[in-house]
Order: sequence, then structure tokens, then C-alpha cells
Amino acid sequence: MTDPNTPQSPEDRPQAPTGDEEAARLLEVGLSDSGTSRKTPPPSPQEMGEHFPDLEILEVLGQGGMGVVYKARQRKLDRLVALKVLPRDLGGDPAFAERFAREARTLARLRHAHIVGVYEFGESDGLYFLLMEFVDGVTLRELMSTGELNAREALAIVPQICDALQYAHDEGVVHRDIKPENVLLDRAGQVKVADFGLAKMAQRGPADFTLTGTDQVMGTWQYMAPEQYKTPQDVDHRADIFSLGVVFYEMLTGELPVGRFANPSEAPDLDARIDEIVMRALERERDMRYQNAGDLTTDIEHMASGSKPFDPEKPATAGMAQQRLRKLRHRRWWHDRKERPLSRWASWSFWLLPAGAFLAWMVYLLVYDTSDHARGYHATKAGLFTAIGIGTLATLCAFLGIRATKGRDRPVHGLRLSVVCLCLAAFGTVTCIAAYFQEKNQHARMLRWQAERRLPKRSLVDHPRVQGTDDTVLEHEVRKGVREAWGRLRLVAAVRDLTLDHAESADIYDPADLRALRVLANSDAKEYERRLAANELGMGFVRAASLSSALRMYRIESIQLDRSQRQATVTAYGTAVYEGARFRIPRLAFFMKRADTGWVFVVDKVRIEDGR
Amino acid sequence: MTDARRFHTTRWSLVAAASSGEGAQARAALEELCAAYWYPLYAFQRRRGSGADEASDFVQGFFAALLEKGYVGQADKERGRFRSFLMTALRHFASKEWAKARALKRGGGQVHLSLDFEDGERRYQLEPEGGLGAEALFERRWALTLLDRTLARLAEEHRSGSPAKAERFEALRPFLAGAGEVPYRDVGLQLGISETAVKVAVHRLRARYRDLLRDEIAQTVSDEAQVDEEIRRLMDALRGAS
Repeated sequence: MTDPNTPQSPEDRPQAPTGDEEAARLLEVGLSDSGTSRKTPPPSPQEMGEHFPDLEILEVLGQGGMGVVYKARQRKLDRLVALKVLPRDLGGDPAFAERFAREARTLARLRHAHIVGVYEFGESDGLYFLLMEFVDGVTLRELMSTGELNAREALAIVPQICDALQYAHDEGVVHRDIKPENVLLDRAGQVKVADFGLAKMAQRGPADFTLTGTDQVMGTWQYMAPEQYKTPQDVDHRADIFSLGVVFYEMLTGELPVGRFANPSEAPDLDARIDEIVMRALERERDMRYQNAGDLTTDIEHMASGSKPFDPEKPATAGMAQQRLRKLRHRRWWHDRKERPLSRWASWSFWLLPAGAFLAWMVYLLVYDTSDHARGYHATKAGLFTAIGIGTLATLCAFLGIRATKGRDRPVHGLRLSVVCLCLAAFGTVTCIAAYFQEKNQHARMLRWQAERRLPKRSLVDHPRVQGTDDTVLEHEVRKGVREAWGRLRLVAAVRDLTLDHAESADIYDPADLRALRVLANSDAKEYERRLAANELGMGFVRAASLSSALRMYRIESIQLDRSQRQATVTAYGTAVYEGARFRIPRLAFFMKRADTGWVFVVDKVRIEDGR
Repeated sequence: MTDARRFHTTRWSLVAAASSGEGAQARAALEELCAAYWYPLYAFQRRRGSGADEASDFVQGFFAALLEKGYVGQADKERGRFRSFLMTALRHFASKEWAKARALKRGGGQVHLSLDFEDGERRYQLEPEGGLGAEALFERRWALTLLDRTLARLAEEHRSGSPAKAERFEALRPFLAGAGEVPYRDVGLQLGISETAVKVAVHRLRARYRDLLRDEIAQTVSDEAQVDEEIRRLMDALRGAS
């Protein structure tokens, strides 16, 4: 074999394929499963008749990679049927029988005016077969090859295919191999789509079979959606829409949309609006295509009804009423006639957002309005978080909405949704800000009210320094300091009156506290010992206090201010309740010292006065 | 089964199996492959904005680097297909080595493949303007070169026979890509044979063509199983060239 490695001279090169389409076809011949490789003559009707005693097999209708189709007569019912016998080698696959039964059952369920019905399926002598409705007519391929198919007819055929596809897709069946060979037209001009789901049944590439694929070298890759050969495991109904787009294009122009193909409207007698429809069906990205077959029908009808080049007078087929119904079903109020429906998430988020916002707002109002100050504060916080949450969600949805419709020629719907979402987000934010200020305002008003009632002249906030301020103000500050320090105060206060006996009988102290009490009760104890004991006891009391809020009330009897030392001596008494026993806290005096942050209680300056 | 035997020693599998710079056979195979598929690289480089001279220097420099330095060893992941290997290596070369190689080239003695760049430039001038990116052009050109070579081999086989055989080939060639414009009957009349005989001849021609095409592709992949995938990818490249 010679090998022309040397650079070829230009004269040698007229061999080179001229167009991309031809080149692609030349390449396709090389595929291992292309038509050239299988050319065994089908078994004759007589041979086949031996396997099917109930049928009178009349003739071979066609042969393809997916088996042979015979025209036959069911003897009992005396009706014509099409018998499709699948290749014998398929039976060799042990999983096939199960898959075949499952798929065939699904197909048998499909009952539609434009789908070739499956009457029966099964296995006979190792041959898997399907008994189908016999369509007396031609395939779309045959019709196209006569060259007599005009645009008007094409526009009448495509909606019928769409109808069949929409029905099947609704039933969860994807055809996977839409091509002119699989579209039949009966004598009345009714379209019938054949071979639904057979590609899946055989789990082969669709290039493998055709219903009537008599010597069809041209396989079906031209009709396959890009995802079908790129990611065959991830194919959905939109692949059918692409294939239908190819068929549509071919019907209109007589050519396949391969390479840099012309717009369909460049063919004579075609409206420019058809371009958009065909091109959208032919989008390589499936998200950009028509998302369901019904939309394609809608667009075609819309174009045809308002256009001059096309005669709006179309044969009233049985499918038309259904189409109208579906159109009504698909058109909701937010669907502008020209707009496409959004993907599912957008539709529900559309409802979710206002509902969520409303709910949050109601909760907020309920909690806020019926609450006192503290609960109002929490409600504000809750409202804030809700608003931020909704705002974020809304912004996210808006962003996704814009993204989902980005690149489309009419992103109106996404924009509209985005605007709604942004409005909601803005509403949430404004609400939250308003609530915050309202709350803050109220708090400030309350403070002012308190200050005014107790301190007729000035509020505390205005007087950070001790020097030069009114006694009343300072006293007020001290009171505040006492309140804050009370947690520690109460224990020291308790010491004086709770005698050891009392404490032991009440059995309220732990051993360490008892020890401290003993030190305090001992008059011989040194000063520092007493102080230490007092502190120790304090810790215990704090524990006890924190457990059951032992201290119930106190009262400040007097406050003596010492400006020079920035100190105050406070005399107070109160009661404490601990484990059911009530204790009186005797009079005590202690120092409050002015620190930068306010008045603080100075532990080691506590004097326990004799209250008796 | 000559084809089956060829498969185990296809050029690319030979090249890919040899470790870098090892084996005269592997090197010869690589040289042969380079000589066959230089034009897509040239078109790629031209489309990336190089002038004709620069592009031819670049391609020569790239092949020189490929053959001398054994880039093959560096492209393990891309060993599956010669085409993707070339693309990876070329990118690497363009970013790292080209400046160096050009400097060296002035120094002297290098590998030099005899490639007809003038013809290449003539062909490039016929490429459609714009539209296609450099890489898309490369893939498209690759596919077309592949077909070119296959058809040339097929033509060679027929031309080496009698003139009648050559004439028959010319008449039947349009049928390779599917049904031609002309009916079988007319071709039959032209060749003086029956319609059935034409069908049979077309079938044989197509079968032979198919074998040659698969063989040609097999030369550039490392495994027979990849041939179908490669065909689909190239078909996609042609199809995506819209």
C-alpha cells in the first residue's frame, strides 16, 4: 500500500472534500456502526412467517440496524400491522430482555393520534418483536426526496410532530432518534411518529437503526443533538427538539444545517421570522433551546397566523384542539405571549419570596407590637435578621434570574423577576432600618422619662465627672453603682446578722462558708482574717444567689458623698430569701468609688455596722 | 487481516510507547506523522496572527524541538491522540521554547523536514476569512487533511491499476459520501456497466474507503477503541464550524 506522505501537489488535491457537510459525511462512513458494515438480506416473509403463526406476513417494508419491518396481517382480527423484528444479536445481551419488556410497556402506553401505536410485543423463538400500527403512506424522507414538499406543508407537519413529542415527553418518554425516516405520513396526510424510545431500548447509538433504513448510508448523526454524542448518558427531551429542528431545517431548505449553514429564510417564499424559530430549536446549548415542544408549536402558529407568506388556512386536524388547550394550559398570567417560561426554580422562587417576606413581616409585627421593651428589642433583632435573610435570598434569586435569562434575545422575564426580588430586598432592608430607629428612639425616650422623673434637672449622661455636679446627680449615680454591685454586696451584707447558730440550723452553707462564718463570729480574729473570710463567704453567697435569686430586695438608707476622695458611703439594708428561709440583711455601710466607668463598689472598704 | 496487524504498530502507538528520544523506529514514525499533519498546525499558527515566514519557521522549529527533545515524554496525559498531543505540545512550545529555539536556529544544524510551505501558504490563502478561531481551524483542517490523505490513498490504489479502473473510480467517487447527484443508472451508462454492478462497485469502494479511513485515523490514536470517538469528535469539529 502506498503512503502519500510527501506533500501533495495542488493538482492532486481535487480529491479533497469541498464542503464541511460532505467532509463530515465522508468521515461518518468510517464509523464502525455506519450503514456500510451491515448488509445481510432480511429473512424473507415466508421464513419469518414460520415464527409467527398468527400473522400472515406480506412483505418487507424496510430494514435498518434496529431490525426488519414487515407488513403483516393479523389473521384473527384481519387487520394490517407492522411487525418489527429486532436483530437476533440483541437477544445475546442478558439484560436486554428485561430492558426490552420495560421499554415496550412504556411505549405501549403511548396512545396518540400522531404516534405509531404499539399493539403487542414479545419474544418468539429468540426473536424479539414489536407489533405496531400499520401506517399506509410514506416516510417524510420519501416525501422530501420527491422535492415536492413546500414550506406551507412543512409548517403543517412540524406542529403535529411537536404534538406527538409533547405528549410523549409529558409521559416521560424521549424519542432520541427523530429523523425524516421515523416520521410517517398516512394517506390522509396525518403525521405519525414511529420508533419512540427504541434507541434507548437497544442502548445503541441512534446511528444504528432506522425504521425504513433501506440502504441508508447516511446515518442519523446529523439529527443528533450535540449532547447525544458528547454526554449520551445525560440526554433529555430537549434532544428531540434539536433533532426536530434539524428535520424542520431540512424540510424548509432541502439541506442539513451543517457547518456554516444559511438561514432558512434565504430559501424562497420564507418569512424571516422562521429563522428565529428554527435557530432556537437548533441551539447547541440545550438550555437555550425551546424547553418544550409545545412552545415551538406556539411560535409557529403565532408566526403563521400573522403572516402573509403563509396561508393561515391550515387543515383542522385533531391535534389542533389539543394544541390550543395546551397553549392555554401553558400560558399563565406572568407569561407574556412572546416570552418563554422560566425554568422551574424561577417560577417557585417567584412565589416563595413574597410569601416568605409577608410571613416574616407578620411575625415581626405580632411580636413587636404586643411586647414590652425587652421583647421589643429582641423583635427588632429578629426582624433585622429576617430582613437580611430575605434580602440576601432575594438578591441571590435576582442574580440567578438574570443569569438564567442571560444571552437570550428577550431577557424580559428574568429582568422582571429580578426587579421584584430587588424591590423585596429593598423593602426588607428599609423595614429593618425603620424598626431599628424606632426601637432606639423608644429606648431613649424611656431613659429620658426616667431621668426626668427622678432627676428634675439633668440626665446622668451629661455629667461624667463628679466635681462640680449636683448632689442629686451623684447620688443617682451611686444608686446605679450599688445596683450593679449588689450581686457582691448582698453577701457581705448578710454576714452581719446571720449568726453561726442561725446559719448552722438553716444548713445553707457549704463547709467553706461555715468556716468563714466562724472566723467572722470570732471577735478575736484579726482584721485581715475577717476580711478574707468575708470575701470567701461572698463567693459562696454569690453561688447561692445565682442559684435561686436569694436576694429579694434592698433599700438604700443614706448616701454620704465625699467629693475630695471621690467616694461615697452607702448605708443600706434588705432581705434575702434562700431555700424558703427569709433573712434580714442588717444595716451596712460601704464605699463606692468613682472610677472612669462609673461608681464601683470597693470590697475592702465594706464596714459591717452593728444593726442592733 | 493486514489492517488488524497494522493496528498494533500504528505510528502513534509506536511513538507513544517509546520513551522520549528512544528508538529509531519511533522517531521515524513521528517524523512521518509530522510530515503528514503539518498543515493544520501551520494554519493554526497563521490564524493566530503570525506571518507566512514566521509561521513556517515556527512549525519547523516546533517539529525540530519535538523530534530532538522528545517532547513526547512530557505529554503523558495526551498520549491517547496524536492530535490533542500536538495541540498541547504546540502550546507549550509557543509559550516556552519558541524564543529559545529561534535563537539556536541561527546557530546552525537542526533537523529539517522538507515541508512545502509555499504550497501551504497558497492553501491558507484559500481559508475562509474570520469566523473560525485558530483552534477550530486547526481541528477542521485536521479533519480535512485526514480525509485528503485517505482519498489520496484510495485514488492511488485505483490509479495504479488500469486506466479503466481509474475512470471508474472518478465516476464513483461522488457516491462515497452517500447518494450522489447522479442516479446509479446514468453512471452505469457512462461506464458501460449495469446499475446493479454500479451498486456493487460503490459498495466495494465504500468499504475499502472505510478501511483506509479507519486505518488513517488509527495511525494517530493509540487504541483502536478510540477511532470511533475520534471520528465523532472530528465530525463535531466540522459541524461546530458554523
